Amino acid sequence: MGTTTSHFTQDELQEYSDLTYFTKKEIVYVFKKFSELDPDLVSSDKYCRIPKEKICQMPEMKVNPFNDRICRVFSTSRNFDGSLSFEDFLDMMSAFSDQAPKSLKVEYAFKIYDFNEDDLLDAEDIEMVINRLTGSAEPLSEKEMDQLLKNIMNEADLDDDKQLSYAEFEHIISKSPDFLNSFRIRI
Amino acid sequence: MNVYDTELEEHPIVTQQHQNYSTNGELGYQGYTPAAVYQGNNELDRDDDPYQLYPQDALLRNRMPTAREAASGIEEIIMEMPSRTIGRGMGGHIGTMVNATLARRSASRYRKRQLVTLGTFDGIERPNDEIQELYEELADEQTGEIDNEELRQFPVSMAVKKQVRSHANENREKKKSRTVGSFKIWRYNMSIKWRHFKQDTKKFAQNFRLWQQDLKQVEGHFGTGVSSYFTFLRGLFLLSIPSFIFNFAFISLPQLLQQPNRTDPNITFTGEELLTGANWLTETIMYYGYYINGTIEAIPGSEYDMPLAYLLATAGYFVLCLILIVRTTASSFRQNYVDGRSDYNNFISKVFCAWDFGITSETAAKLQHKTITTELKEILSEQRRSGESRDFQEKLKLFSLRLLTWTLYLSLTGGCMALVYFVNDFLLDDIKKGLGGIVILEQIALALIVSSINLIMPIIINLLTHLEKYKYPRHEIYIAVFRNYILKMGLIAVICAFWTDDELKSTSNDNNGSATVECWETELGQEIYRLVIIDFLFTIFFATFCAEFLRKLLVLLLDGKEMCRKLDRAEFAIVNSVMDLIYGQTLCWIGVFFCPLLAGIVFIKYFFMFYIKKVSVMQNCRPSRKRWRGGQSQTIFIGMLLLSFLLSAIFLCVVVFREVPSTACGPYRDQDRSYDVVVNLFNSLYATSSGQWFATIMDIIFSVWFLYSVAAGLLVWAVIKSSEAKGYEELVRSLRAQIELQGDDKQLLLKWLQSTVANQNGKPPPTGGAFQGGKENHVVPILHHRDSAKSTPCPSRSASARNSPKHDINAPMTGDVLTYVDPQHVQASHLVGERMMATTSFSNPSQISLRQREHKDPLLHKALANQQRPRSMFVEGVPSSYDTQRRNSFAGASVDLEDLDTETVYEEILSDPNGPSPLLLALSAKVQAEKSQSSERRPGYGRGGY
Repeated sequence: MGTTTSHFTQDELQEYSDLTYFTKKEIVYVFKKFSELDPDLVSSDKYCRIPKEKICQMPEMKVNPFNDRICRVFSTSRNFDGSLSFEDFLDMMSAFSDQAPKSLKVEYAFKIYDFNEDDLLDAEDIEMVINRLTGSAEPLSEKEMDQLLKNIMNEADLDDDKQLSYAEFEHIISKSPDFLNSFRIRI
Repeated sequence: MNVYDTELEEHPIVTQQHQNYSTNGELGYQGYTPAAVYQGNNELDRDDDPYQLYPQDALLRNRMPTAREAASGIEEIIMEMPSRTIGRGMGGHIGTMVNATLARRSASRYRKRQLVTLGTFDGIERPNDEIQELYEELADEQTGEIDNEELRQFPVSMAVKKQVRSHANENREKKKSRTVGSFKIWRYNMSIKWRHFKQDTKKFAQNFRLWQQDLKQVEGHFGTGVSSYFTFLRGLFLLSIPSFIFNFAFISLPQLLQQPNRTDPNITFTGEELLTGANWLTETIMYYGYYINGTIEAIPGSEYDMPLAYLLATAGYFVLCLILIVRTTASSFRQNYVDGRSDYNNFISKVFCAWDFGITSETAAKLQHKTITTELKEILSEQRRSGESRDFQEKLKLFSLRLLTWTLYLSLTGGCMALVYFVNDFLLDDIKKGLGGIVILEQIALALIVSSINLIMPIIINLLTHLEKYKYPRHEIYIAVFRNYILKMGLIAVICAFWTDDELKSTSNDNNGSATVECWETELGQEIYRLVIIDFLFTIFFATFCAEFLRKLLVLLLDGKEMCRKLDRAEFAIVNSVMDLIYGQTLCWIGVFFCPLLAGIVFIKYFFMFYIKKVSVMQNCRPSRKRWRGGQSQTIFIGMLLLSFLLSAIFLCVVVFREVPSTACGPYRDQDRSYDVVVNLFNSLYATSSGQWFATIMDIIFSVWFLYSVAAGLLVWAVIKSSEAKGYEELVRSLRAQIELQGDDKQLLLKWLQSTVANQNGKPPPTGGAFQGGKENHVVPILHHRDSAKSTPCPSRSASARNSPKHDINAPMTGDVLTYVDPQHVQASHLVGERMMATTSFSNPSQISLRQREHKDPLLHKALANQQRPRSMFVEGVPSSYDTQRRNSFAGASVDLEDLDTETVYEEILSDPNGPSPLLLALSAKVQAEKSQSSERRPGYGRGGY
């Protein structure tokens, strides 16, 4: 651990620890995981950005149907290429950690599911979510999709505008007991 | 105008709100009178009463209203929006409260949401004012400090958080110079220190989290369902650590220091005691009977009162467990159950909470795709079928079936309990006859029987429950769990009842012949010890080794054979495993009084259990084909644990307060009741002169009046809390209604817009719905560009769009033509774009670059085809009396309904330097005209309501 600790000063670690839900030890561990994604790049420059493709090699991300969205949401890259710096990566792991509160998770979940990034979940977004969830092997028929979308809107769309605003999404998700369990990646 | 009125009449909420308004107005309700809203909203026009200054004949005189008129018109529009009238509808204080809270919360929430979307790109320093804004939102008003917790919860990138922090550091110096009372500063410092301390301890504890990697591994392969079993196990393990230390330190350790002589020194340790818990182990610190009834003076000069310590330590252990369990239950309940009506958000959680983000293995991921699909399809077909209710004959059949299964279950459970009782009775005779010649098998016979029942009965119960054909799988699980629980508790209850039976003790007291049980407490302790051990071995051997490992071997052996294609590796039985854990923990609580070291044994058991189960799961099991929704069932499990705990506590209370202790053994051999040691303690304290004050306090505490007042106080507190909860419920309902009414606002505004535009064009307004067909209409829906593939910097774009609706209305239009048509014109769909371009008379076509796009949204298609509200609309026609410049800003405007919030429309009017948009002017003119036409009683916009 001695080698990885030396990548950051104590002050830096303290700051990261203050701003995330991790302890210093865990931050060092997260950095280890980060550098494993692309050891050469990280060893030459710890502020480097790891491209999306490499991030998606992480076991959790590899099988995740929303991996590109997750990269996109957490990336602060100027080119919008979904590449993650260590700070972005830390942000991501912190949001997915066990300790992160529901409010933060809901916020990020909303961003991830908002494919067209208009700050609203419309039928198009939700259809995309469902399609990715069911996978390409056996998608829902058009009729089923129709019915499902209608049901979702019935449940969540309080103001009847056929789109879910953040408030509506938060309202309905906060009633879903399974959300916290599912929206979690252990480090 | 007629059409307009009919529309209003069709709008039940508007009509109703008007009536409510009049009644509340008479009651003197001030909060929402038009004037109040008017003045509150616009300070500029405070002195002018718009109703007097501007005669309501704008449209009759056929002149365009000025900006100011438009503004006042818009205010009226806003005022008359359904959502604005909610306070009236609800009357009095609730209305005010709701609206005040709503305003406060939504303002803060809105600001936060706005700030969240600040573009946060690599290396680009954010402008200072944005950081400042964020800082002000987060910072403490008095000290300028930023709480880390607050900052952590803010979903912005690390770079922005860092900037805000450094900004805070700069500002703190400035703020400090302000004069604040020293006490206040001290209090603030203390509260900050306390917060830091709490955070630090939390993070410190985080370093010692147990089995984190194992849990991750399990979760990666099997999802959250299986890992919830392991977290439950881990929780019990952690609970057993302090319990063991507590019991050992206060009960066993003192006794170890001063060991009484054994009655029979010839008995030696042979090894079989570990299984039976008898013989040599009987006279060790393991059991109740070994503990002495005097004081321990191992350390010179100190007296340790063993009976008292024994009772108090056990009580302390229970209090400790109670605190820990209640805390967990409460937090789990809060997380999973508060307002979580599960039927209500069925679809949402099946979509948005479907994916386990923690999954790492590809097979698990593939399976999860499949599971989700099947589940969605199932629930959809179920919904389609739900219309067909079961007919009488089927109901009768189902009823008789369930009656049968219940009878079967109850008789089986009763049979098992009876079996245990008679076996116990039968064995007791042997035990009475002579302690020497009992073989091991006889000693552990009862435990074997109970464990076998526990192994077999759950399978039968699951089968029976499955036969009952419950509509939802969830109900099936709950009912099976409930039956399982009753059975297990029943078995434990029989054993406890047997050993605490008065008859048993009377025989021991009579001392006639050799038929005596010398120490029933130790006997019960041994029985429970055996149950714990045998149950552990059964779980390892049958549930893990046979059902999982051997099955896997069998599958590997027969791999590919035709006959056994259906045979596959076992799925991990979450429910039964968790039930076993609850059963084991209940045994531990029951037995701890009779066998103080049981907590330690359980501790070791859990430790091995975790690793054995984990290895078995990883090696032998396959991921479940059914999705396990852990949230609520976890709460149920914890709730059952709490119930078990309470039952055990009640049982032990009965033992301590009511049962006669054995006369031959244990710390209470010379007492009538175990509880007497406490009474004696008080008596001795009363006797001393210094204990006088103590006696007085005790008298007060145990006086009837004091107890009554405490009970009354608790009752009052409960009533207050419950009414508070009801109040919050009410609040939630009102807020919900408010949101729904906001939706109606949009609807209403849209209708006005349509009829206004239609009137301006001199064409007849559309009747009823928004869009008729797709052919002749002059209102054509446009979908804003929503292409996720395009790599526009979206966060900043959407932020600016939200901040200034102007941007949307006046910007050159780039968008997709949504090729919708009504169902009769499906073939023409690809032509719509062209037709629209041809029939549209834009004043400045260069502003428009439309891209044709295929219609892929079935819902939208249906919405449009069925003449429901569209998501956005496009206005083509422009009246000729407008000047060209205005037309430019008007034509090509795409009004996104999401942006057409009443507030933003209003702001738009006031803030636009070019004057109000003609569209809105026209709208306001229409409102004015409506008002003049309506009766003179009070301002309104239609006759429909009265």
